[in-house]
Amino acid sequence: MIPAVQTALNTIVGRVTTLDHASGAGRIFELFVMTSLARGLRDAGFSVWLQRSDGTIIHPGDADRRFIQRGGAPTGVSAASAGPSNATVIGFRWGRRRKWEIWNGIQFAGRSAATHEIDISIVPGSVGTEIRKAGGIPVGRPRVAIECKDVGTSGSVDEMRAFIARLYDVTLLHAHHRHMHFPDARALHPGSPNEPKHRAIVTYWQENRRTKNIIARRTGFTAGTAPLGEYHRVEPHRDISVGSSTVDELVSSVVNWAGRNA
Amino acid sequence: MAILDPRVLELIETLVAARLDWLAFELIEGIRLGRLPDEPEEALAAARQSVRSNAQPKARGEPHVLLEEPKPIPADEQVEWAAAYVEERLDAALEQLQASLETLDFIVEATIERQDPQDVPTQASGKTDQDVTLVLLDLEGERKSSRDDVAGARDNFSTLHAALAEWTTRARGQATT
Repeated sequence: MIPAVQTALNTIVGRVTTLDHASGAGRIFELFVMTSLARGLRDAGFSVWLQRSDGTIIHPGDADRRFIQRGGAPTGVSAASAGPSNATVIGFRWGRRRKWEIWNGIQFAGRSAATHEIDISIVPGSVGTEIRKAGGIPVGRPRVAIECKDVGTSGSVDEMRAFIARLYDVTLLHAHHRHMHFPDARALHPGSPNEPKHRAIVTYWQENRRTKNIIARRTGFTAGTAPLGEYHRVEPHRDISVGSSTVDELVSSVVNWAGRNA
Repeated sequence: MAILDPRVLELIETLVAARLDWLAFELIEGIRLGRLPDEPEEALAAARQSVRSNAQPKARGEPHVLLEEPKPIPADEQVEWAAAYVEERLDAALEQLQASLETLDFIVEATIERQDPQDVPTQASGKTDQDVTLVLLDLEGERKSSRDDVAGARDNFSTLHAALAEWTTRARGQATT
């Protein structure tokens, strides 16, 4: 034991108890990416707000100004009736267009019926509204999916492969709906708008192209990851840290996507 | 195969005692993996650019075999590597948390009362001086962190830096086995 180091660590962890949770530092990194996106959207002219798990918006005059992240096992979306003490989301919209929601650590179900946690996802607001009626796990692919990695070691080919495999399992193409119970062929259920860009499409390539898929890392990637990500349309972003130009590029990529699609 | 320098165990025990088991696991994993060759930023930037274009990806078909093996972190470098890792990891997390809480406050302050006629109204209690508090929720309960908490923790960072530097100097003077 090193007493002086332990005393200093105890003081730091005593002040910020999030750090003594197994996934605390990881959740902080996800929050940093999530709030950077929100700030970028706001700066680009979108309306942005924080929304409690019961669907209410956090206003400047509210006494309850908690931003809640889930730290335990991955889960779906809580029912609005369960109250405001589950995961907070960030909402955004352009003018009077449709609302969108940024989620953190939500599981999505794939065609295999396996569930996959997506660290940061962006979905139509109507999906959030519909699923909060009773709570549950969305089925299909979020329109933006970001895998966040804050560990010090570089991202491996295995890490990229695992993310791609998850995206493929949650991709619902038009043909897949022949075997599914949904009344309409949409890319994400329930609640996706009945518009061409939300309907299920024909090929993986088309779905990869119309969605935004990113791995955001605090450190770098090992050799060999770039070609794999490029082929399957996953953007690799390295060295994500406070105040860096790399954050600006990541934010710009998502904001540009939102400008075209939201 | 990577070999763990026994002098690093002292730091690992200290992390566990400070309830930072996850950081102890990361240290061990980092030493186990060693140093892997990084993808150059030019290759990553080209990949990002290609993804954003509408170009159909072309199947290359020729396997690119990676011959470079990870390089183990030499035993006599592990003490310094581990001390730097702990300091950098915690510093980055606190910096990210501070930036996030500032952004969350900014968003709330800029929120207009009703986004939409269909919005669920909330019971506004007038202007408050309260900042947004981050709550990490699991079955064990809630862990709350405010901007004041983060500022307090960052104030203590110079103490951690000095303590780690002192340990590094002392450990370097010890035999490795």
